Amino acid sequence: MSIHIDSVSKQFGSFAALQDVSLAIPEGQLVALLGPSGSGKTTLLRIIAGLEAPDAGGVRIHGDAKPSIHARRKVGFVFQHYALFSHMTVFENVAFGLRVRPRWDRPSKAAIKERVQKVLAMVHLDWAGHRMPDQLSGGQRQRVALARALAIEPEVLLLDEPFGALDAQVRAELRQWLRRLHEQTGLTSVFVTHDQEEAMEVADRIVVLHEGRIEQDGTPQEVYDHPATSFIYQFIGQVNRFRGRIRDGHFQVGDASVSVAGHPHEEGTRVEGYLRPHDLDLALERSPGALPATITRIQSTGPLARVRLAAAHDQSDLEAHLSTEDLAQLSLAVGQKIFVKPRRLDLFPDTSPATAEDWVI
Amino acid sequence: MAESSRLSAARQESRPVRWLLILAALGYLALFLLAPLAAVFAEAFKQGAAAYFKAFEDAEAWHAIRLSLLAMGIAVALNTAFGLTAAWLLGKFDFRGRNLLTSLIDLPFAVSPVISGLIFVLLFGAQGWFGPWLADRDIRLIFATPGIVLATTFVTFPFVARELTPVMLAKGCDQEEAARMLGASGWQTFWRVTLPSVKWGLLYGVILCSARAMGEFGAVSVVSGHIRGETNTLPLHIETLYNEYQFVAAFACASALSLLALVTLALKAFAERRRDLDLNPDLKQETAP
Repeated sequence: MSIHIDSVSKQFGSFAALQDVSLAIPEGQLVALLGPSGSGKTTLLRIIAGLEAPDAGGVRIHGDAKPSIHARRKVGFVFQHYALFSHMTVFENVAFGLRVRPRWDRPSKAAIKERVQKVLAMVHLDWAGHRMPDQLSGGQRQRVALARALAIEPEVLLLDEPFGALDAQVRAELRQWLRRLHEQTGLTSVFVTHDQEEAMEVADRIVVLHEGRIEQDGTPQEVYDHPATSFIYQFIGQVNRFRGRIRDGHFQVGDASVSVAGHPHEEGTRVEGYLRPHDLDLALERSPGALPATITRIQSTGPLARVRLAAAHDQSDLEAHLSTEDLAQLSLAVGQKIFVKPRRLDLFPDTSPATAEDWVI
Repeated sequence: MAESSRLSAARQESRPVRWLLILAALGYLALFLLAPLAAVFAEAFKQGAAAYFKAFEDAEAWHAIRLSLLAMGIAVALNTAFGLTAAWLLGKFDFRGRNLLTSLIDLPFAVSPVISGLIFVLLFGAQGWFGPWLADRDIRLIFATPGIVLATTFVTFPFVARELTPVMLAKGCDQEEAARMLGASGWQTFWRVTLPSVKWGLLYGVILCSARAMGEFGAVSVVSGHIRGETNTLPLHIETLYNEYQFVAAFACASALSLLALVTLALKAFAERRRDLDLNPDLKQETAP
């Protein structure tokens, strides 16, 4: 089933959790709602689920403006803290959604048993039917919660920070597993996360939310390589930031002038240039557009070397990633003064308050 | 390590001080709890077991016991229904007038039981507000069983709601939301999810409510009129016997009431433990593989 969100807004007291958010999720897609806490991602998910009513706008699942009871039942929801029924066995938890159906729609006892065994086997917990939830570990409980949501044969699966409460190793395992499950079932799935790595690894598409608005919507590759805003640059992945000014159409930072193709910024405005660590070249000789910097730390475990530097013009921290072979060729040492050159740079308006230094050129 | 040794160091009192404190606590318990309990049984059996059991052959004693049980039964049933509803509202919903409801539930605790009894006399008594209206229709509340039930219900009103509200609050709404997402109706959610998840808290509240209803004296004393064999509850019957110098009979009945209290106490301890386990499953032995 596809999900259509039309200009949804939601206010909690004076706090605007969502402001005019629209989103269309086609059938079969696995979408991550990514954002920091307070960005509105969980509110959006709860509105899709129907657990929260929007103040304005609406949600249509499979094009139905008002989902009937039956359509409502096609949405499976997985809660961050599992929300298992603590007084029921694992089996009863999973069977719940089938048992509460009206009599004309309820499967027979044998069919319920078969269905529950089948989904428990899917989450590798067929041995745990008689256990109580508090006898299971966190990862196992979350798998029961997934099985419970899958037992009702949903056509949309919603997951609210599903792995947030688990430790790193279990989390990594369950991510892989969720991806595989998605490939097997083809369920339209939306999951909320604040972990950009998780979103990158699992999702087909990432929707980044910030202060109740969608900041970017794209594939993991697009979001990582072409962040739409400075917020996303800082929120996703590692980033270097240069603060400077537009002068003669170039980006002037310190005493270097970097040419940036096709930027829309006006002459004289203060801008910030962002780039990923692997887009920062290191050189021993000065060249046009290069900035002096001092190496503060070199870390070369694995195939990738990380070099931390302090920019000469404002002492800001920089990081460059290069292959260990390149590192060996340059034969760098901590404390050495070298030159950094941005290979590509994205410019955004600098909205921070101006300091005295900004006027000294 | 440092933390724990510091803690135990803080707990290290010299031996005499420790014994003195323990003795003081035990002495206090003995003086104010055990001695009265022992006295009740001692007085009841003063003239032997035969005299003791003879006290229960009295028809008025049985009537008093039956009346007490009836008042308790109705009061507990009403207050369980009300308490469950109120705790569910307070625990699962945010609404206007939440604080007002909380304060109203506490009202019977704040009012002296004798005053509560008087309020009912002022409302429903012969000279009361609704007195003439009731008299015209030949309905008798005061100095009759309905008045006793009413007074008992009022006094024991807060117990179930107060016990259950924190349990409902602590459970949160996660499980209810999960049930809803799985397609359960509101009714199904309440009976299959909410109620089972608070059952030990509910039992605890019901037990406290029963104990209080059984022993209620002040409010009932005002509305009952002390008519022997008609409106005397067990506590009132004991008072009547005592005032008539029938000490053995009075203490025999008192011992029956005390026994009920002890049974209630045992049940309460059990329910309390289950309720705490429910609220904090980590207290159970870790059995996860």
